[in-house]
Amino acid sequence: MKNKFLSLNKALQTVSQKKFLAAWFIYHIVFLAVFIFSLIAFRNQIQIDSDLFNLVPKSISMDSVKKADEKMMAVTSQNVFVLVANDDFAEAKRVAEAIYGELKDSRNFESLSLYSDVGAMGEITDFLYKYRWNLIDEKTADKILNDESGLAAQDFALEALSKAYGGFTMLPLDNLDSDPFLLTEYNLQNYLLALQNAGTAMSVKDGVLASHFEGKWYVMIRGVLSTRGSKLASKDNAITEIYSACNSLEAQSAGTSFVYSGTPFHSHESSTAASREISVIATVSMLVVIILLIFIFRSVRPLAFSVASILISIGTAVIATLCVFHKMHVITLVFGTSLIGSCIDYSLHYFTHWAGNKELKSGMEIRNHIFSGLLMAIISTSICFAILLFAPFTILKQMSFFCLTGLISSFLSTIAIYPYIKLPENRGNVRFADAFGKMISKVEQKWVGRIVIGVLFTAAILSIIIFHKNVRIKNNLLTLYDMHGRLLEDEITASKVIEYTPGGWYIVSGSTEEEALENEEKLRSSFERAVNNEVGYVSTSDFVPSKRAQEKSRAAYKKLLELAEYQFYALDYEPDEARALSNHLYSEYEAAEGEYVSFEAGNVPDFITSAISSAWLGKVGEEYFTVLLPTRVTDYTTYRSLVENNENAFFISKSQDISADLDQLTAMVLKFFVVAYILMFIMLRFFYTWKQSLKIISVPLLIILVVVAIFAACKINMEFFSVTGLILVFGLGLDYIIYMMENEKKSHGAAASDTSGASGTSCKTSTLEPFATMVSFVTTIISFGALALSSFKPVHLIGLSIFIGLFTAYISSFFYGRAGSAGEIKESKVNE
Amino acid sequence: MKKTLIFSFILFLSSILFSQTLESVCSSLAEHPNTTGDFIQTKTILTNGRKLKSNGKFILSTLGILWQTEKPFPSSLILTEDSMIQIAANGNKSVMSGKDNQIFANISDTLRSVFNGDAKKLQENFKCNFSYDKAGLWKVELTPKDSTIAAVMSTLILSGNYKGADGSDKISEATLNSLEMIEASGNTITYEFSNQKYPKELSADEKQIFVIE
Repeated sequence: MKNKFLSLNKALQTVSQKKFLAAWFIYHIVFLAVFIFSLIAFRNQIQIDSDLFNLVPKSISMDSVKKADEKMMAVTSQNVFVLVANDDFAEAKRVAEAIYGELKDSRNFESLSLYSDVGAMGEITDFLYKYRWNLIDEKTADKILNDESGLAAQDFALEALSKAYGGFTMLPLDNLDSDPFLLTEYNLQNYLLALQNAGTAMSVKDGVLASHFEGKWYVMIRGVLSTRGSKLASKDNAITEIYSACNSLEAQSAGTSFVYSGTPFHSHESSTAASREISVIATVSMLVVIILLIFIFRSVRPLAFSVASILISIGTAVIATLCVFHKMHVITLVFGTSLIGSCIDYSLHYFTHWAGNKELKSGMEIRNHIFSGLLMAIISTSICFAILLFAPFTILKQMSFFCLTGLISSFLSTIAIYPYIKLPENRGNVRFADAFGKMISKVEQKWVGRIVIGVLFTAAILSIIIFHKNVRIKNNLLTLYDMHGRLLEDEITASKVIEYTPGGWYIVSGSTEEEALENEEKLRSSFERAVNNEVGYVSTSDFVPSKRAQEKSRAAYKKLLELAEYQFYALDYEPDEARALSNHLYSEYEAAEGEYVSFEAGNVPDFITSAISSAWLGKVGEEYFTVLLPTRVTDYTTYRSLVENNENAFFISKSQDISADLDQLTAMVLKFFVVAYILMFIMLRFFYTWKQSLKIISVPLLIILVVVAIFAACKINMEFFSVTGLILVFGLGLDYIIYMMENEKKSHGAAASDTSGASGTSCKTSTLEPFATMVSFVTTIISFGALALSSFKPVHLIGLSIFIGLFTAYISSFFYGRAGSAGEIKESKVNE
Repeated sequence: MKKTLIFSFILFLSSILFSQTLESVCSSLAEHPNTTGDFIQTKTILTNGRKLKSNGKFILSTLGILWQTEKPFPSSLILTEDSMIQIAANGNKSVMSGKDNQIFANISDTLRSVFNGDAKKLQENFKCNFSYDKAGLWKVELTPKDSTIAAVMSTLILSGNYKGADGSDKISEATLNSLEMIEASGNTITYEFSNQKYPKELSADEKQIFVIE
């Protein structure tokens, strides 16, 4: 078995340096060429994504429903609301008008509205009048139709007379000749009631939407971001424009303040914070690298080449990810900055020998010396990252692809470019290397390593036993993003002022528009019963009833027509006139047979389309979809139970569904971990002995035990992102034990062949590898430590688990090395 | 320049005078915590020239306003601080809460300020054009400032009598005799009030009307 690795290693070592250089060029040029091609071919698609919703997996459900849900999210996630607050309504309106004036022509908005057009009232009444016999609500129609005595119809007619002679009607009585039952007025009242039930506490005041809350007037500006405006990575996006417009007016208008609400504000905030974090993490990591390299190697060349290698790696990773995914989430970039820590590992191993190992006479010899260790390290890391490529979650795929391509670039730079760097004249001058050698010689005793490893295992297992109740895989979407500061206050105020906090919705499907609407009507009535009419909702069929409901309405109207003549008398018409008008009504009704309000017929007016824009999804794929959106969720179980056995309706609650999906994904990632574990062991057994393989493979087990133990002790759930971090540690942490093992083998070989009595030099050079490993551990732990300080919960969790895991990996590798190497070297010496 | 100054001064003076007289009428009307009486309502429809006449009783009080149509078809409209309730002849009741709907809160607020003679609110919500004569008649034309309300109702004309028309501009014992509402469509609704009484307290039954369950 060992021979296979040796022969592979030797075969690669005999490859000429020019071929490695060619491989380096080909690797980077291919990605660059594909990227340039992608930029041209997918011009509008290549972008940095900072949408918060894309941070979490999409709800796993039926494909068609998923598409419909995505369509709805695409609409709602681009909505923004700005509330202009002032004690004085006129001032609040004036400022709102000024902001609207400034933003209305911006290309950053698909639509922006302030005015609630009172002129639309005419359009509404014309529509309600034209289709008056189609729009009687189903309950009333049923009541009229089911009452054979005709009393229900008489009751309806009497109510119309009361309105006509009463003190208040919403509409003028201009159409009394053709609408004696005041159906237009009746339908308008129902529409207004539906709008009122649809939630928001905002109402029209002086032509704008406003609400009076706790002594202040709030005037609302609503906007939908355009594709251009939603590119939050760009400097002149819609949110920046809103802030800029509001800030200048806030300074000019005393007592005016603004309340911002909507997902894009949060995405913008997190995107800005992410940019800040990228800067901080990258700066800190780079600073540490710079200081370490200059201090240790006393030369700027290792620094210059390492930094160049890192920049090339990150650049390659970015363009490779954009080539493959077209969109790269900003969190991938945040996470990708940790590449610095991994990339520097390869450089540090090379430059440690470059500066300190006098036995290696050329760059090629250094390459050959570290080749086997680096190769094993990149293979093990690549296996872990490659496995994550199969995760059903794009962000995870992006992260792993980003790291994979970046690491390969760095590996190629180390073996293909570095050997061309001229060796320094004064070699053997690596700072701290001697002191580190002396330090490790003190812990060379086999029992020290065994005790440390034993204590780590025991402490971790004991902690898990003690805190076993805290060991759980549990995700909660709501805890992943912490709203804070002004945005949190604004969202609280906005939810109080607007009184609109939907926590879930029903997606209703049908093979035709009619079927979708009928299914929604059935769901509406069961929903109303379930919530006892105490929760409002937005639905399409409230405004555009199904044909079935419209037919019922027409039938009810026909029954009313029997009373038309008397109705006209009661409205003080002369008998002849009443009879003639009554006949005319009947012929008008007959003439309109077969006329229905429907999207298909294209006669749904704009104001209705706009009012139900979040409810009617239309045709998505092969089916038609509509959304019933309750204004609040009082009981998730009840809401779900309404559609349990309904294959045409689905209840979707983002926070709950995504949390459940994250739980599933976490379990899936853990399975990946097991697969990676088995694959890794097979690979190790291919190259190492049973004993060495078991020793190496026990490290990931210890990592998991320690991470789980610490998380349990600190009452932190094993969430999706921390488990993902563990997989990454698996790949990165194995590098240390592999470097240690490779060094062991070389020390063993050197000690065995050292018959000249120059063992002092060999031992000195044998400490260079652990020294390089220690330095690379320090740099990696700093970059991942920085991730743990992130304000993003997902990044924080990944960083924390990697930090703990890497620490465990290094400590165990270090003492595993001590527990075996010294004894084995001594043993071989005695045998010689 | 001198002429302009004099003209401005006269304008200023007349605006003070006008404001005082409107307030005088309003405060005189508001002196009575409760007003009850009869009304005759005439709805005139411009498009077909028809007139719908009805009559009934009204109560204006600090608790709210009751508009009770008796003939030819009974119905009631009750306005309180929070709600607008309509009761049809068949007893069907529809309640619109001002808490849920700002439009109705605005309309309710406006109507109550008209009937309660709340001058401050009237001037907040309307452009007021007040006039009176020495024969003891006063009249105020109210044009809504709010474009949403103006889309429904273009002008309100209130008129009535007063005493103390001795040229001293001191208006007292004002009564509201008629109200004309000109809708944006041009249709009009006129109310003529009679038998006004000013009880210090409403009866228990009357009070119960304004208790919304």
